[in-house]
Amino acid sequence: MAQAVVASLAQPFIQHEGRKHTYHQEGTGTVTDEYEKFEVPLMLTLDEIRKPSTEVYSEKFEKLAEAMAEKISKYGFQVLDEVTRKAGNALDAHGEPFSKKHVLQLLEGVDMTFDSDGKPEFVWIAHPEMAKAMAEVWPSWAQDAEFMANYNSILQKKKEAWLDRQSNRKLVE
Amino acid sequence: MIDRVIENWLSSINERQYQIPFCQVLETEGERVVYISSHGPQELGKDIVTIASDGVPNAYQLKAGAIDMGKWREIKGEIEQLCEYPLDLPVELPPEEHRPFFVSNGRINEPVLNAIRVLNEGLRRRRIKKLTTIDGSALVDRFRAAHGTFLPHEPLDLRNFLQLYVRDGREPLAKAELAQFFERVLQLDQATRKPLEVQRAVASLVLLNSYLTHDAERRSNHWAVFESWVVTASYIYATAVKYSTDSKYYSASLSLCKEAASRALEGLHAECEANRTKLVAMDILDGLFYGPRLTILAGLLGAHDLVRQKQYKEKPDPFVALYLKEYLRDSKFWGESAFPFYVVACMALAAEGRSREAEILMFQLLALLSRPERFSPRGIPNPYYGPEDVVRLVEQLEPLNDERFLGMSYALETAVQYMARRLLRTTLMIRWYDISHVRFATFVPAETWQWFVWRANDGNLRWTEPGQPQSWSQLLEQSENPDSNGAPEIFRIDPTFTLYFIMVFPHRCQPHFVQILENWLFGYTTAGQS
Repeated sequence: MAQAVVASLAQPFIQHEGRKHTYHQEGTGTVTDEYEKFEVPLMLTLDEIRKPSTEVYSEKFEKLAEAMAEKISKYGFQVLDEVTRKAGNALDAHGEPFSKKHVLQLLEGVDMTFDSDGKPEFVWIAHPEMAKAMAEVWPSWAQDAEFMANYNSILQKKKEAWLDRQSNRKLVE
Repeated sequence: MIDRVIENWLSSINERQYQIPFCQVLETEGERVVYISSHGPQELGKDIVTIASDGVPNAYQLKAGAIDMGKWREIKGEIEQLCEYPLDLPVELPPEEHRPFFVSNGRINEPVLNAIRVLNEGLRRRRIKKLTTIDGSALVDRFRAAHGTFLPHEPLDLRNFLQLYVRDGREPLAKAELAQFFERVLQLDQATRKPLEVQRAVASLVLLNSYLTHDAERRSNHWAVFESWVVTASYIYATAVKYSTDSKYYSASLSLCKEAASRALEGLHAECEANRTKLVAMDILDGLFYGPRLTILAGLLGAHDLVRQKQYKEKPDPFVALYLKEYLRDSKFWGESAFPFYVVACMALAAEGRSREAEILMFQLLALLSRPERFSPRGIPNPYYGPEDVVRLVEQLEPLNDERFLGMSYALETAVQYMARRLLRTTLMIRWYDISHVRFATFVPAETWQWFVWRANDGNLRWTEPGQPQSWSQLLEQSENPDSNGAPEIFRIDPTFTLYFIMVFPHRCQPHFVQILENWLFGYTTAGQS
């Protein structure tokens, strides 16, 4: 079943008037965007109109919601892709299989936030097959002392950078 | 159909309620209204005074209902004052003797007309201008003619008009529906309009709003009446700005709207002062709305008092001072649409010399806005949600609406700048960590005239991050010269309108408007000093 993965990550927000929105984006500066229109057709046969059935209608609406979710997700990934490329955070593996080196490269490229317990707050978004493969290899990678040392070192650097940013949340002269 | 509505409306209202719309009719017919009485004993028979196109003053006495001999005997003294007493008003008038008019929204029966004929004969012998009568039927014709072509014609518009007309006057104003109706009548999608067309269109708007608020007037729903006149004034500005119209074509209609809005606040003030028991929660069901009601009253009473102080150079009203002292603590911040009411309450407190209390109140708001998760898990509803909408959201009566408000605020920047203008640097310093986690949201309409419409189709929602770190000197500079975001100068030129506008259009309340109002009221630069 298609899921609105990107939509579920974002906070639902309604722009109550106007068609544009402007914001600051790390790495790319001020961005002004418009909204994308999504539409999915709903077809009812004459017979379905003549003999309305809750089951049929329910199934149609379910499919319609799925199709809409899929469209929104696809668009979301496309935007994410564009944004990460613009910000210089995209990783091109040049056809190589996903490896420990790629994980470390990816982590190096992003700003991270940490929760009140000091744990990093980041989400991996991956194709279901890739996610499965990553879940499978991760236990063995976690046993690799050198990889984990590099991994933790990057996290430590990210935490220090985050603390620096946090300390900048102040009013100065 | 419109004639029937006008007839129905005229027959259901008192003389005070048709005074403003009748002024609009007179203006449309070419007279210039120079005086509108407040129906006190000092009026000496004159409810309205105008200068006619021939330069002669006209004086009108308005009455309601059928006029028979019994009624005539009751009012004869006032009519004699109308005809015989010279104009003695605080306005400059031509030296000519005035023409007296007796107006009733009902029928003037034959014996009374006969008595008036006899009265006129007596006046003629004494070389006093004769009394002219205008009855309900003549009024309907004149109101109808004043609309010109700016009336609802399409079935959809007529349906909307009737739905608004039959709406229960006890309910809050249906602002979105009223605005939508005005937009269709005004046909703001037209590229150009001649000044005279604009003049007629805005005059029609004033009359239409009079009809639509009749039940709210009848039921003394002063809040709804106030809001409807501010919406009308705003659409007059929208039309005038859109078609670059000189103010001489719309200023009379605009003045009538502002006068009507001020009168509604005066009525609210009188009612609250006369019956303070009504300010107490009535029953268990009042719980949801008791706090918001007190908030709204704080803003409206505060605005009434601020305008009165400014216009008449009077001292703060003791009742408003007492209200703010006793009831503000029980008021409720239901969401960001409550913010402008608190801004006005802060200004009223400052005008009473209670600046410290105003600052504490604003600080409490700032603290809440910068930690929205403390308000509710979904944050603080933005200013597009009025008090009733917020109740629906909180009580989960809108299961399909999953909008979240965390991490953003339309009001926080205004609160920050308010504190900065008072040099409350330490306070801001303590709060800046939280403030920096909330993005400031500002909506900027694409075209100038769209600032005055309920929802602008075109425009840009701007998100800005508070500084990390934020320079104090830069913040101070911004607070003294906030970005106008292209808002028209009208807001600076007409601060009374701006004061009313931010409470009725809370989603348009921006730092720039609050700074305009503070400059107008107190002449603030930094630290609240003149």
